Amino acid sequence: MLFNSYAFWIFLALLWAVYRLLPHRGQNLLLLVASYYFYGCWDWRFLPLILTTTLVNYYTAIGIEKSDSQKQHRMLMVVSAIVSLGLLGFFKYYGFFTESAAEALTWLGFHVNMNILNIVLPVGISFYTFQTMSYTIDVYRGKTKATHSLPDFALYVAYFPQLVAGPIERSSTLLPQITHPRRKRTSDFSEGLNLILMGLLLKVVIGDNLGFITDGIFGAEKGEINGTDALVGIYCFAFQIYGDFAGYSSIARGVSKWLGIDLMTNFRMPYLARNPSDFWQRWHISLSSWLRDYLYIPLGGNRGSSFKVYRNLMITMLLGGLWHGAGWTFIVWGGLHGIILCIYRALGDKFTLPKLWGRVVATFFFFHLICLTWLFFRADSFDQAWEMLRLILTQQEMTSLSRYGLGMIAFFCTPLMVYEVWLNKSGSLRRLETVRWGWRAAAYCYIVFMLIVFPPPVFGQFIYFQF
Amino acid sequence: MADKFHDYDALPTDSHAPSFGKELRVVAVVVAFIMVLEIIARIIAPTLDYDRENIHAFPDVITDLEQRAEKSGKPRVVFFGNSLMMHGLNEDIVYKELAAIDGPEIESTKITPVGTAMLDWEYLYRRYFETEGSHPDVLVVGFVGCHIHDQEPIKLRRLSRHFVSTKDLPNLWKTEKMGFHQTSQSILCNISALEGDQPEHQLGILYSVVSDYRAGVRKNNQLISDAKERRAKEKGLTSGELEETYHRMERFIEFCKKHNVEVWFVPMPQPEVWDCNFAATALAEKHGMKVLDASNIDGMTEEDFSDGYHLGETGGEKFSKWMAQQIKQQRD
Repeated sequence: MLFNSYAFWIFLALLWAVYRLLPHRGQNLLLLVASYYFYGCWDWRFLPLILTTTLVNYYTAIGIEKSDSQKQHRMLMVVSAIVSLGLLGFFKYYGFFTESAAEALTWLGFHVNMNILNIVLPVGISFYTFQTMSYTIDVYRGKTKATHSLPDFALYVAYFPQLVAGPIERSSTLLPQITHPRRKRTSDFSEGLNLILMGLLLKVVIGDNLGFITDGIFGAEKGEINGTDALVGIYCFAFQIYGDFAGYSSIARGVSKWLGIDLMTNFRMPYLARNPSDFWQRWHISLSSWLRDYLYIPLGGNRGSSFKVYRNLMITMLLGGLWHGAGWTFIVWGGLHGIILCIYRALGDKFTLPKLWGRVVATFFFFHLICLTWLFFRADSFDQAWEMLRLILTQQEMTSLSRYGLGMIAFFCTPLMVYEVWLNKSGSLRRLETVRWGWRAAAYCYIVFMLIVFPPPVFGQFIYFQF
Repeated sequence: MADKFHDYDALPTDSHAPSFGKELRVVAVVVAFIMVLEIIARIIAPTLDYDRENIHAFPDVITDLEQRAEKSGKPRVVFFGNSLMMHGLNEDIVYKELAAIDGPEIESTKITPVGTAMLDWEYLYRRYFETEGSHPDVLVVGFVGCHIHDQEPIKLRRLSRHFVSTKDLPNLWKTEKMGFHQTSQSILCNISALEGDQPEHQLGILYSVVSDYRAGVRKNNQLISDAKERRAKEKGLTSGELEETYHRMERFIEFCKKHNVEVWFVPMPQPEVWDCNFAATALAEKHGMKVLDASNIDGMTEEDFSDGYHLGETGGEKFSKWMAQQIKQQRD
């Protein structure tokens, strides 16, 4: 059941009609059943995986809280981590590592016959695994208390708006909202509406339409496209992945608002970032803050020698890349971001550009740097990435395909970028809610018009479901 | 309650947050806007393009044929199909040729919406030839291979809006085994011009604002289909291996048969001679319908095609004369 399908909105309407009539406990139970149903619509066979993760983390967290022994704390933490990461590792990375190992051994001259399984990736496993782990780690660190209500904890793990593609919530923010009765808030409807409409615009209009061009250009064989086409393909992908993922997060947050639960902001005008540090505070914030809190800082963070800081940055970004997908191109993508962060850390302050034009140049330059990393993220292989890079550097000429691609980017993304600059200036994602209602109505009419008249040629899945 | 995670989410003060009641005004404006769009879409629908003009004229065209035939008592022939038949057949030449070769006199018309295939024809026929008196004596269906098998992709919006009648929608869902999303989409398109004619609205805007849109899309589509084919080959599949089925064609024939309509299937001329699928021919003949092979008309050359696919003026003349001779042979 996709957010951009009719079935989801009927499901939500029915759910909401019953939800608002129930008391707090009943609301939680209803949400839990609805969440399992929502997940079961993809593949009910993977429900036991969520249940296993839920039960293991629920009981280990209680065990940690009940015990006074540091040794037992550590042991329970390790058990929880082994189960959670073990499931993730098996379902997501087993095929990749066995295949890579087989290739490496063959390259070294050994003939191996490894059993490479074609394992189906359970949708959302990376998201709920990280979310659940953060809870157990927080209990282990004494930062949060273990919850003693299994249904509440199960809902924290499986809460349907963010179950399959985030945001990756923290127990300190989401659990209290589940365990405490929801309050009626004046702005929930308007904010939810704003988030849902923006999310649909990002996903259905921008992400999916540009994704169609991306698929064409990245599907081309050698000699079928030139450097300008390749560059346009990367620009299209940059907006496709942003529209797709930020769109999902925005709809998730909007739906959750309507249920009276706040989810964290996951994207904040990322292509207006001027440096890598700024970018990671705007892009997939729930993952970057997770990696910061549970990986980078425990590794030592900014403390210690420069070498150690760079090492910590590289490890964090490489694992961040691996989180996105079981493939070398994802690892290289993470590595490139790591290198960019290291270079920025070493040189960043020396190249600060002054005034408005300086900021524009920095934003423009950094956007292209991000696009370079997207090339490796999207390419099917290194060969393809190198070939496209070579074309970009050597064969620039406008073709009908590149003119069409640029025209489509301008048509779909210009209003979005103007809106984002306007939001960025005020420092608020909710600026549209503060203007006169007529302006808001005009903005929503534009979105609805685009949704009706410019649906994508192909009904699109969400890219991040595969991560 | 938990604190908000990011300050970016905070409004300057809570008093700025619009309440549910106030926000309903915004929703009302959006709903009114959609209704205005729908009205505009309905007004412009018949003149959106040549094809829409053609489709909107079907009821009049069919009534006109019915009246002419009633008056003259001549047999009714409907030339049915898509742009291949539309460009290929010249009714004036058919009449002249029939007169020249002493063939039967007929009353005829063309029902040829572009880009259509068997599923469109099936429902179009059921919708527009709904009264008993409207059925022709002969229905000449022009096609090339892909138009008649069940594997031809459905153009759901146009099919639901222009070819399927509201009462036939459940039939469509059942026969095409549509899921919930497609079913909902077909209902929306059937009742709303804004939804049903959406592709034309989209193209109209993009043609005017995106330079090289047509050429760019064509190239992109080509790249995507080439990539798909390569991937299929890598997996050991080829499109040729896909088994073709003809349930749509069978339903169409059965419906026509029920109303005593004689159907002549005409494999249309193409620059290269092609063979009609044996199973399709056998199916038509099993039901007592005819297959008149125009794929290899004597004297037809590549120059007779205007764009490598549709017949041009000279090709149209050759095909129309051939058609007249077939009518004479079959009706005599």
